[in-house]
Amino acid sequence: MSGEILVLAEQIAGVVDNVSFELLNLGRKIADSKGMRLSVLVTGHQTESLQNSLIETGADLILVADDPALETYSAEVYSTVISNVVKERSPAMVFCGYTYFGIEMSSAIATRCQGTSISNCLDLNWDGDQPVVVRPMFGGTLMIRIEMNGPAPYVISFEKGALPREAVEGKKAEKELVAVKVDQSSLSTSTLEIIKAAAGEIDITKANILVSMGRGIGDKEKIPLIKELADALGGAISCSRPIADMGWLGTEYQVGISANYVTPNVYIACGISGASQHVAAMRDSGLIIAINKDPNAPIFRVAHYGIVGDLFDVVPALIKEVTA
Amino acid sequence: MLKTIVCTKAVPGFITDPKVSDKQDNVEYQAGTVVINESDDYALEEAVKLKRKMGGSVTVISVGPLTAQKVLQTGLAKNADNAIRIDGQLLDTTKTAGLLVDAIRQTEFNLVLTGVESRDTMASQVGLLIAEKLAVPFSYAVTEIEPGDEEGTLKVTKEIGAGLKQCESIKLPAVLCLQTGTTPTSFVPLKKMMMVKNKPVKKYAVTDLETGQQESESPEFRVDAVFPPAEETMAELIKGTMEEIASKTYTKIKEAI
Repeated sequence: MSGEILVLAEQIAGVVDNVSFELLNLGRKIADSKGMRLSVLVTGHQTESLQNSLIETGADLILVADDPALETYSAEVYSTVISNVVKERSPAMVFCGYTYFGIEMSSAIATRCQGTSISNCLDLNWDGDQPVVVRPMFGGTLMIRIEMNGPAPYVISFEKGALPREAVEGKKAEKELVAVKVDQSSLSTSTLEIIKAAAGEIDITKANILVSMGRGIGDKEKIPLIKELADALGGAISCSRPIADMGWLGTEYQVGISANYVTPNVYIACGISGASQHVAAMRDSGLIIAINKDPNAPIFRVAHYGIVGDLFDVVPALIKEVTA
Repeated sequence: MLKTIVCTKAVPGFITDPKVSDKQDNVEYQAGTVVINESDDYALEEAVKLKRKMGGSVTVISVGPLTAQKVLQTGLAKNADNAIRIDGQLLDTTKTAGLLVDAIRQTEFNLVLTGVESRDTMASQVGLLIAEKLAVPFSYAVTEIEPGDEEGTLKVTKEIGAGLKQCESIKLPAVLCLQTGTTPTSFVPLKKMMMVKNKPVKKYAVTDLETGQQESESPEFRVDAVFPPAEETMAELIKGTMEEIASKTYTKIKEAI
């Protein structure tokens, strides 16, 4: 394997998302061991601060697609612009996050550039010159190792938080502008509005202790029990996606990449299986304690401490202990 | 008028004895009862809701073995008009999308709905690959679909992460991948299931379709191994009587605050 590794940088509200640094980290290691070049593509408008935060993060080159047409994210426009960059440069590999952005981009790039794509990866190794990836199946209860043999570019998306995020000793990257041509008249989609989630009665991102509940609570009537533990600890309650989907709590309580990222000192996951979309938004918490009946629940892989048991036994016992 | 095709997948509730297939192109296992994949169920519900609101038809389609028929019948019981099953079980998402596109092209449609991710393969690719193969616009993690302001368009709202949603106008035909929680899913009473039991389900063999006839000399993927997650990444388990567990856990919490 030789040539270029291209990382698609991703942003959240004008700040480079951590997943981009994780991808650069992996990319640097591969580039060094295989004698490849590592580039990172910044896509957007008025991207100076994004470019600056990527200068010494492992890349040899920062490619900049900066144009007023890219000011608001559009899957159609972004996938066109990025696919053109990939066609032009023919990188051997393209790395992106298994995120809203990465999911929308990777299938489009792989198809339009006649490459091979694989999504939701946790790790990448090599069998000679062939990439070998590890990815989850069945809700993360099973892992599968796959060797990629198709045509390049290999478009690979990685689960956010799965790759190590240690700092890379990087030299200063050069910058290069890439041409952005968007034919507005040929577009099939147009953005009407960006909607921010309505502010709820609480802001879980500010809580120091979160007692979070998932599908395992089984019944809306059990929410007060979780609240009782949160109150006893001086914390707040939060939840995973199914609880918000069922309307038991509002999305302002939801921890996940679609809703809120949280980093409390203590995160107690009650009956949460640990879907990657949830884990990516809470894995940086100080102390993670998981309570789950299923010893194979993926939440136990991110938790520091685990209690395999019925949360309706464990939570009341904890309340008793805390209030004693 | 919408002519909607909903791609649904039958997924097992649990599996045992997973192993790599002889051809190293799939994972084989013993499966419990299959159910409709969660986000596909929301896609189906949304399709039926759109039909009520805007008129048109709903076709449910699935790639799966005979056991997947149950999922298609659930679709018919929920008021879908037609059902198509492609008889196969693949891990390769590109091939799965190819088979679906081959069958979709033989059906009149202007909207394709799928769920965001399947519980078994967790790839989030099939819907988007279908859009690419059909060369139509797509939208992922859609939470709302409404009639568009202009003829031949829909107004869709989608999640773009970190609490943000994007509302966009999308020209038909299009592919939309539905997020969970969009609309309450309905329970299908047994009586309704019985009523659709003899409704025809159009069946294709994989080799009936163009994608299935292209037997690739060198497959794009080779499955090396299936294995449980590594033990060393597991949390340290707190054990003992319930009182001991509570006491040890609270000690850890106090240390962290």
